[in-house]
Amino acid sequence: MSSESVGILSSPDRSSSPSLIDQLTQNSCTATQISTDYPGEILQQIRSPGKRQLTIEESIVTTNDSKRICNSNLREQCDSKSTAIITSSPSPTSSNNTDSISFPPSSPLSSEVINWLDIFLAMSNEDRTRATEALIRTCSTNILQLNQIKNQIEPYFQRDFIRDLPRELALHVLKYLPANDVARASRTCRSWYETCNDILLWKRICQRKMIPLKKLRTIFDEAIENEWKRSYACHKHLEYVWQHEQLVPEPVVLRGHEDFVITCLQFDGKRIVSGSDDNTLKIWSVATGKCDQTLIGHNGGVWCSEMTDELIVSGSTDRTIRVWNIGTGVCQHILYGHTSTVRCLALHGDIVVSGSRDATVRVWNIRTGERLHMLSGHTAAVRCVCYNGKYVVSGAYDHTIRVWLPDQEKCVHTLEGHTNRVYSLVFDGKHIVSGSLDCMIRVWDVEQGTCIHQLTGHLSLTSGMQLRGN
Amino acid sequence: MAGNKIKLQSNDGDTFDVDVEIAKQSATIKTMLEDLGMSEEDDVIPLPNVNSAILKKVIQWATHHKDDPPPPEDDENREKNLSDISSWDQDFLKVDQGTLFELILAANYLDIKGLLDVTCKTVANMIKGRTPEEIRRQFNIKNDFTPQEEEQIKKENEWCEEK
Repeated sequence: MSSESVGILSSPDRSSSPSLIDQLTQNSCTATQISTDYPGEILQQIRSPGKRQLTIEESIVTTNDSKRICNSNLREQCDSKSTAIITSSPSPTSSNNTDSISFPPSSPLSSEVINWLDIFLAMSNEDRTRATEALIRTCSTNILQLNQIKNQIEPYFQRDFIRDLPRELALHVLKYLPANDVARASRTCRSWYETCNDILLWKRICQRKMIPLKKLRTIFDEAIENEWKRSYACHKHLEYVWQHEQLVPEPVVLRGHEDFVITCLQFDGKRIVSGSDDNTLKIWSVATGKCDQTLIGHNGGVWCSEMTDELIVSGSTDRTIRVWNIGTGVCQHILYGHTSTVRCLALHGDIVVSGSRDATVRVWNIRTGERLHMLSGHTAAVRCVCYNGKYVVSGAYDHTIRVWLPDQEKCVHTLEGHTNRVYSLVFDGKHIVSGSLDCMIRVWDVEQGTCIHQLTGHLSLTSGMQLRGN
Repeated sequence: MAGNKIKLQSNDGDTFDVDVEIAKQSATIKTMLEDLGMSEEDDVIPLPNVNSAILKKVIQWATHHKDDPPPPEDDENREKNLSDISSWDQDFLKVDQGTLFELILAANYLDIKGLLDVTCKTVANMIKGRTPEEIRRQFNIKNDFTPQEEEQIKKENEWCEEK
């Protein structure tokens, strides 16, 4: 046989500790070649680059399953056997393969076994092959013993791919797995856990199913740190809950605005802000279900509100807009100007835009309390308003929608088409979608000022809409 | 220039004569030939990261796949299909895990997308549908979690067992 391939099977622990055979052949420094008649070739192990080696502690730690030899255990077993055997051979450290670690030997081998192994050591390669063949043939009548041999050999043919491959290749494997399998794989061991929690892996899983990143608080916040995995888990759980409705917990009823209409609601994931015809707003905690604050001050029913992390802005039939501090409940500003009910608000940064029954739209700074602009043009109550920082879009009972540049106090478009009151608007910066008492939904281009679609179907007033995607 | 051969040398000294077109399925080799101006006639291309036995397998795969259309650009957002491995490839990959491992590394080093994909899919198929304990048995992995960690991670992943 040519000597070109070094067919030594080294330990699966790829910190390249030598196999038992390796240790036994220390005496002969030539490379041995094991017959490759075995189906599936025995190959030299190439250490995978860039992975950390097992520490001494890790390779000593005992396995959970005493019957199964794990990758990290083989080294201990090999070395402990070899220290018992090798008497006159050079110490393991002389080989360029071994680290000099000494292990306490497991139960010592009997002298007969030692002699037997010495004889094996002294054999030629060919004899060794024949000897092992004969040994296995002899054991083949005893299925238990044969099983034992198989269990001893098997680990050498197994590889921990996810731990040992370079990270990008391990992820290349995991890429092919659906979410459930990735989640289950992460429960295997620490190195798998770390790799299976790769953020881009989960981002891709979410994107495949068009699951957006969940930014608001979720029930998995404590359990799952990986934000894309969390988003996936929420989505999956939501689907499950929808399909098994009996598992939805009893809704919590928040009592407070007794006998009065609740006119508007805001929600930020941990707080609910309700506005009511009883002239107050209430801040509720989602976690406890209790009312944390009641905002008192308006002299008329509250009919619209907006919230940020720190502030609540409310509009009332008392014609004012109030700016409240969420934490303290203190009213920081009262904005005067409208001559009738403030019916709708739109918040963008420090600017709030208000629409009123007085047919005007006004622009205010909620930090300073300054009155900034007044936009006149509508001829009836303004019912809904949107603001994206550039355009103000307002819908009114005069059947029209107006597009304004607030800083110039200029109306750039008056969108006509609806044949009855406009009740609701959504605006994404490019398109305006309006709903009306005429049962139609219209889609407009904000730059051109033209109507691009008309949607029929509703049988009555369309009063609430939301945009998702396109 | 059909029939043009090139010599590939494994890291343990074996050389293999291979058709240039077959060898060029390896983007690495293709680059060496085209961009680095290595001559096809005389030179031996050394492959220091691949041993003889694995190189032999790789050449066998590349020879069988020489008429394959070039693989399509990876669409990251498309659901990946694990069951589309040809029966020839399945047989070819009926090897021990050690060999499969080396094939992945070789396919990566030689930049042969088709081989890399099919070997990784094969490993993925060994993981798919298995419980953590079954996976450990499959790959001879030691469970190094403390009981508390294991419990916590189980909770973290409970949602995926909801049917």
